[in-house]
Amino acid sequence: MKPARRHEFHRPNRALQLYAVFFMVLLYGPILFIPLFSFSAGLYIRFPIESFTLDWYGRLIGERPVLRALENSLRVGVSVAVVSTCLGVFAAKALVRYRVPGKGPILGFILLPLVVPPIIFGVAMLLMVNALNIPLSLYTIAAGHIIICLPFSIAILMPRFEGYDAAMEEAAADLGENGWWVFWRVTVPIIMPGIVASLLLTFTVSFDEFVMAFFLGGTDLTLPLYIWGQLRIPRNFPVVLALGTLILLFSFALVFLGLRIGRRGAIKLVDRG
Amino acid sequence: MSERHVMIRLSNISKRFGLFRAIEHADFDIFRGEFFSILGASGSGKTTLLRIMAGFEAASEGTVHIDGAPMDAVPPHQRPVNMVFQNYAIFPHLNVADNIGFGLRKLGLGRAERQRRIDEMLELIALPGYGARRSDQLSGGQRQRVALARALILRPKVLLLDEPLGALDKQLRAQMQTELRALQRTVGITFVLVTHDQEEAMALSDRVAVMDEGRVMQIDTPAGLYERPGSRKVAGFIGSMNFLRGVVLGRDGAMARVQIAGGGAVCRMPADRLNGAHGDLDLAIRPEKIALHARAPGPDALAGVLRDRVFLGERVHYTVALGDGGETVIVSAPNTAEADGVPQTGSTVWLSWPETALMPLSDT
Amino acid sequence: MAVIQSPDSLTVMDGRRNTSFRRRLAARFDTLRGVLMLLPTLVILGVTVAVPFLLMSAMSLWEQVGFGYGDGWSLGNYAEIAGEPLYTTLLLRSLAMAMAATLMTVVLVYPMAYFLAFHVHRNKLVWLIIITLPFWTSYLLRVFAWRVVLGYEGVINSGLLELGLIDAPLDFLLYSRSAVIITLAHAWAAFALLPIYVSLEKIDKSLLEASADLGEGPVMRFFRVILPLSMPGVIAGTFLMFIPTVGDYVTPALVGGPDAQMIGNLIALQFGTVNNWPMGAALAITMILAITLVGLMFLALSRLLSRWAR
Repeated sequence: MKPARRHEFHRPNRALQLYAVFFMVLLYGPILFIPLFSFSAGLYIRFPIESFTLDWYGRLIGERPVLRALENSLRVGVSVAVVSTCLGVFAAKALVRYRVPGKGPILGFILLPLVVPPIIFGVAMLLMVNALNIPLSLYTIAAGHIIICLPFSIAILMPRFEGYDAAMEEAAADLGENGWWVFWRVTVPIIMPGIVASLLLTFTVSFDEFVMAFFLGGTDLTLPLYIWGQLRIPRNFPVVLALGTLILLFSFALVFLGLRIGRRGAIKLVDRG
Repeated sequence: MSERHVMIRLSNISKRFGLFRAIEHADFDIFRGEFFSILGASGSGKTTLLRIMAGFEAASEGTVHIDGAPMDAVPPHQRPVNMVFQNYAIFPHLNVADNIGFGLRKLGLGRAERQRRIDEMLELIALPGYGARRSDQLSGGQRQRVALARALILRPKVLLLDEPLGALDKQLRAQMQTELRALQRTVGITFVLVTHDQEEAMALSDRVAVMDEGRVMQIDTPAGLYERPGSRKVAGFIGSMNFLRGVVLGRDGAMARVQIAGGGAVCRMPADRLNGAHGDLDLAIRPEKIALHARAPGPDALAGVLRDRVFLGERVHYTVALGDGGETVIVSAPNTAEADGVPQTGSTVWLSWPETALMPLSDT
Repeated sequence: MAVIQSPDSLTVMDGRRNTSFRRRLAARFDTLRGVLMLLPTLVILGVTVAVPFLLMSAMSLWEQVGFGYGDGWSLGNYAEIAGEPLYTTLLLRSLAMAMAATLMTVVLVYPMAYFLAFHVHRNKLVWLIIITLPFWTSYLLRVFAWRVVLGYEGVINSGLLELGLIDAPLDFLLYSRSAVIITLAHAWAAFALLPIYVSLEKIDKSLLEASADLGEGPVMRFFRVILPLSMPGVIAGTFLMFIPTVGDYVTPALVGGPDAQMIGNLIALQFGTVNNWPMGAALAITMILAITLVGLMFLALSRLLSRWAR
C-alpha cells in the first residue's frame, strides 16, 4: 500500500515537465542570442544570419580601451572579492559563534543591500564622496562594490560556521593551540569551501556590476561602463556582442564553480533575505 | 585516602549565567590516577563543571587547582589537561594520523619521532594502520578511540571526558566501557568523566560525584552510593529504590527499633546509621533486598497485599501495597524464589529484609 | 604622570580585584571578541551606507540655487515632487510597473518552484544552480539581450518578417512599458523563485499523504494544503522582487521608451544633465518612503487575507 501511495506523489507530471522546459527556454533563450549573433557577419542583429565569422572577436583583441577596461575590472573585482571575503569571514563567525548584542538588527543592516535598489547606495555614496572632495576613481567604484558584495560573503559563509561543531575550535585550543593557530589550523581549512565560493561569487558580482560603477566611476572605465558607452553606437553592436559573449562565458563558469563549491550557502542566501 | 596526591582541587566553585545558577559551591578533590565520574541529569551543571576544569568557562567564584597550580589565569591551550568532546570533534579536514598528531606541533618533534608517537597511539587504541583513513570513514566507536588517542598523545595530567559514550549505540557502549577502564589502567592518567548514565558511572569509576541542579549531592565509591545514598535524590538516581516513612521508637544497644508507616510492623536497623535522628524518618530500601513470603516468617515481617506480578526473565517484580492501601513497595526476586508456589494477586503476602538493608535518608 | 595610577598598577596592588577583574573580562570576553570581529564590517558599512544615507536625507532638505545651494533647510523639493505631475506620474508608474513585473514573475515562477520542490529528485542542486546562474552574472548584458530580442530589427521582428507572418516590424515591442516589464520579470525572477521554492521544499510530504488519505483530490490538495503553506514564500518573493525593481535604472534606460521611464532614471538625471542634486536626493528618499508604504500596505493586506481565509 505504502509504495503505491508514494508513487502517486512521485508520478511524473507531463504538463509540469513541459512547463519546466518552457521556463528554461524563456530564461536562457534571450541570453543565448548574444553569443549567437556575435558570430554573425552582418552589422545588424537580425535574421536570417547570412554568414558566420570570428572577425568581431579578432577586432576585440586590438581594442585598447577594452583591454584597459578589462584590466580595471579585474583589479576592482579581485580587491573587492578579497576585502569582502576577509571581512565576511570575521563578521559571519561573530554572528554565528558569539553572543553579540543586537544580532538581528545588525544582520538585517548588513543584508540590506541585497534588497534595496543599488541606485540608492550609489547616489548616497556619490554625495558623500563629493562632499569629502574625493575624486571618482576605481577606488570609489571598489568601495561601492564592497557594499553590494559583503552581504553575499556573509550569507555564504554563515552556514559554513553553522555547519560545524564549535567544539572543533575548542578541541584545537585544548590540544595546545592559541587563537591564531586555531584559526589557521582548524577554522580556515573547515570553512575553505565557503571562502572559495565567496571569492568567486563576489568577484563575479563586482566584475559584472554596473549601477554603482555608473555613479561612482571616474574616467577609468570598468567593462560594464565601457559596454554602456558602446550601446549608444549601433555600429559597434557586433563588437559588444563578442565582448558580452566572453564576459558571460567567464561569469557563468565562475558562478557555476562558486555555487557548486558553496552549495548550502548559496541556496540559503535568498531564504534569509 | 588523606595522603593521596590531589590532582584537581575545586575550591568553592560557583558559576552563574545571568540569574541562572549553573553550579553552586562545588568543593572537592580528585586524586592522581583516579577514575572519577560526575553523574547528573542534563542541566545539572556537570558539563559546565568539566568545562571550568578545561578552561572553556570561567568560574564566577572559586578556584581550580590542577596539580597544585591555580588555573584562574591559564587559558585552555596552556592547561595540563586534555579533553574528549561529546561528539569527539574529530577534525573533518584531517586524516586519522593528523588528528591524533594535532597537538604535537608545539613540541617541535622530528618527523620520525612524530610518526613513532602517532603509531604508538594507534597501537594503543587498537587501530594500527588506520593513520591514512579520512575521518568521515570512521565508525562511531573508531571516532571515539581517535578522540582518546588525540588527547592522550600529549600525556596530560588529567583526561576530561564529556559523555564520551553517549553517541554510541547500546552494545558498543558496553564494549567501550570495558576498553575505557582498561585504557585508564594502562596509561595511569587521572580520568574525569561526565555522564548522565548511572550504570556507566558505576561500572567505570573509582569514585562518583552525583550532581543535581548545580549542587554536588554526594561523592562516594559506586558501592557506597548504592548502599548508603545520603539523600532521596541520590537514592532515586542510582538503581531503583523503595521509599518508606517510619518512626524511631527507641534503641536496644547497637540496634534501633523503627516502626514502618502503613504496615505497622517494627523493624530493627543499626543505630549508628541514624546519626542521632529520632521521631519521623524517611527510609529507603532496594527492591532486591526484600524477601517475599506467602506465610508470615516472624513477628517483624511487614504484611501487605500483592497487587501485581511482572515476570522479567531472571527476575520477577512484585508490587505490594502495605497496610490499608498505603504505600506500595516493589520487590525484585530471582525467579527461583517462586519454587514453593506462585502467590496469587490479591492475596496477603509478608515482606522481610536483613537488618542492614534499611537506609535512612537525610532529606525529602 | 606618576599621579595617575594605571589600572595595571591598581590590580597588582590588590590581588582580589585582579582576579575579579579578570573574571569579569572573561565573562565579557565572548561578547567583546564578537563585537571586535564585527567592527570592521560595521565601520565600513557605516561609512559607505549609513553616513551617506544621512547626508542624502540632509541634502534633500537643501535647495539648488544656480550652481550652489541656498541657505537653510526647506521642504521645497518635497513640495515640488508632490505638486509637479511629472514626478508623481513617474513615481506611480514605477510602482505600477514593478508591481506588474512582480505579479507576472510570481505567477510564472510558482509552477517552476513547485516542479523543483516536488518533481525533481535527482541532481536538485544542479537544477537550482542552473536556474540561479544567470542572476549572478552581468545585469547589463541580460537587459541588453532583450534589446536584441525585442529590437526594431531584433530577433522577433526579423524572425517574423522572415517567416512572412508580418509585413512590417512591430514597433511596439521595444521602447515600451511592456518591454520594461518583461525585461524586469526576466532579470529578477530568481528573487521570487528561491523563497517560493524554499517554502515549498519545507512542506512535510506526509501532510500531502494525510490530505490524500482524508479524501482530497490533487487539485484541492494544492489549494487547501500546498498553496497556504507556501504563502510565506510567495510573500517573501514578492517583496524581494518588488523592492529592487521599483528603483531599477538600467532596464528602462535600455529598453524603455520616453513613456516607460521610471523613477530611477529621473534620479539619475538629477545627478547628471539636470544637475540638481538636492532634488535627486529628495526623489531617492521619496522613492524609499513610497516603497515602504506600498510594502506595509501589501503586508497588511496579506495578513488580512490570511485571517479571512482561515
